[in-house]
Amino acid sequence: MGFYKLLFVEGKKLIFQRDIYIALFICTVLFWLAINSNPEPSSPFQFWKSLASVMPWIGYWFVSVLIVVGVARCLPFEREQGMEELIHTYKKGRLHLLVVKQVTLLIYCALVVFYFYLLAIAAYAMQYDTGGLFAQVRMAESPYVSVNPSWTFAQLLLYEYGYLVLAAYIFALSILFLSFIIKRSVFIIMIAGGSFAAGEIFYFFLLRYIGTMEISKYPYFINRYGFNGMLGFNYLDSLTADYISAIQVYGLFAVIIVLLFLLNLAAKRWMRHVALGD
Amino acid sequence: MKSKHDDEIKALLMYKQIPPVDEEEKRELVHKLKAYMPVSQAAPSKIMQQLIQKAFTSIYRDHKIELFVLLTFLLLAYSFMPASDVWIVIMSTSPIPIFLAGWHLLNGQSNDMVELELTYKYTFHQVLFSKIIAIVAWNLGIYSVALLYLLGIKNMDISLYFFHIVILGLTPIITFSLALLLLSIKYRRETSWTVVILTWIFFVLLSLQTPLGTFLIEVNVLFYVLLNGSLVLFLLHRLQHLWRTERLSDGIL
Repeated sequence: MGFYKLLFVEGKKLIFQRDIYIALFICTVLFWLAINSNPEPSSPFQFWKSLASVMPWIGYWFVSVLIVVGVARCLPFEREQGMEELIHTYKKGRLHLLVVKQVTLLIYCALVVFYFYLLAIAAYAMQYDTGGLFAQVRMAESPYVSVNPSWTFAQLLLYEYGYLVLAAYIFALSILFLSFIIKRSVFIIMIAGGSFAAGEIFYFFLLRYIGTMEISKYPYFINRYGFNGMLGFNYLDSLTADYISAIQVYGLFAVIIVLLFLLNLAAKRWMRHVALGD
Repeated sequence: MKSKHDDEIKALLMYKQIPPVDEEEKRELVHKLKAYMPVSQAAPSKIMQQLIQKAFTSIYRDHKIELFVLLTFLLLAYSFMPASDVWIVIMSTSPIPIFLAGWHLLNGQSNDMVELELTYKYTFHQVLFSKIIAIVAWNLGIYSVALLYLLGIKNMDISLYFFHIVILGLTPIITFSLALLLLSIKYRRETSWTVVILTWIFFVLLSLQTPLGTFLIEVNVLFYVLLNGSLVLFLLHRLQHLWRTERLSDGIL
């Protein structure tokens, strides 16, 4: 089976998961409710400012939920369907299949992020005037992202979209790595989703009480630069912007992605040797 | 007028040897015929009562430690929470028993297990019906105990505000009961339930971190009364349908 055909089959396998649609339905309702429950007074470029802020504000929660649900069954699917033995006979080898699975995940991440941006555009377009796509960001700066103020809103949104796709893909590849260790998809969802939620609970609630303690600086650092911070655009806020530019963040993410991609392939190869006993 | 055959018939009836009845054959025939006769069963209400009682006690027997820990956690949460956050704690914690019991319910519902349950004395849907009712009853029981404790410890008056938060807390219980029922019938996968729990955690975060929480508490209580009423009616309708169903949607008898 050729690469594109296999990509199509893997994509079909992914989008036929019922759990994704359950999560998508609930997340859509919650995202829509949250956006509409917070109508800020209309001001010039409010539409673009809100759009640039919505993902670092709450949007990344929903992206992460869908990533966890979608990726959790990506590897255990064959085993849970009882067709693992069949995969062993695959002509081009399972590494090729894993490469295709990882590419499918990139497309999935891009689609999920795109869906939530589309939802936000629809929700904000009903509240604010949509003019000013090519106005400079300095006209209405988002409190969540610190980029070159001479960028236009079009540039900023394009950049944000790419940023979130890459961050979501890093998260997805890490969950994929987790599924080499944990065999049941339900436990993968529990561990990946639970630890992400725990990170958010720590940041928003626990830090209020233990923020002054010396010990809190380690979990704070992990939270800030771990998956939560990465998906929450912490790499673009004013604290980080002094050390690393927006473009360098893309470079950093690209390096992490390549490393994780190769790590997953190596893990698969290693597991095959373990299974063969050599 | 006598026919010429009358004497022959008379003689045949008088002297013909009737074959003796084979008692064994007779018993077999009766047994076979009985298989086609309607089976007498106890009244449905009696079966329902028995099954619910069994499901109720089995939840207690299998999960008493979890229930005790959960109740302790709720009482502690209610004791230490600030008065301003009462509503969010009640709303976010009220469906926890359903989450726990739902997890156990769906975890045990693999297709193999369902096929095994189909051979039981009671039908699969009757057992599922009783389990759902028992889970909801346990949840409402724990919710009531926690609310009574709250009334005592916080010296809250039974006011319209209290009524509002009680109704608000009932909404997730009824919603997730319905979700559990629908997922048990349709998907029977524990991952679906895990997804529901995960999204609930993010809903709670959203209620605390965004104006969504304030928005929800400011909605008129009548809306929640109507919503809960409709959900209860839908739940009862689905339960009634489940009790009468003889075959699951995916073709398993």
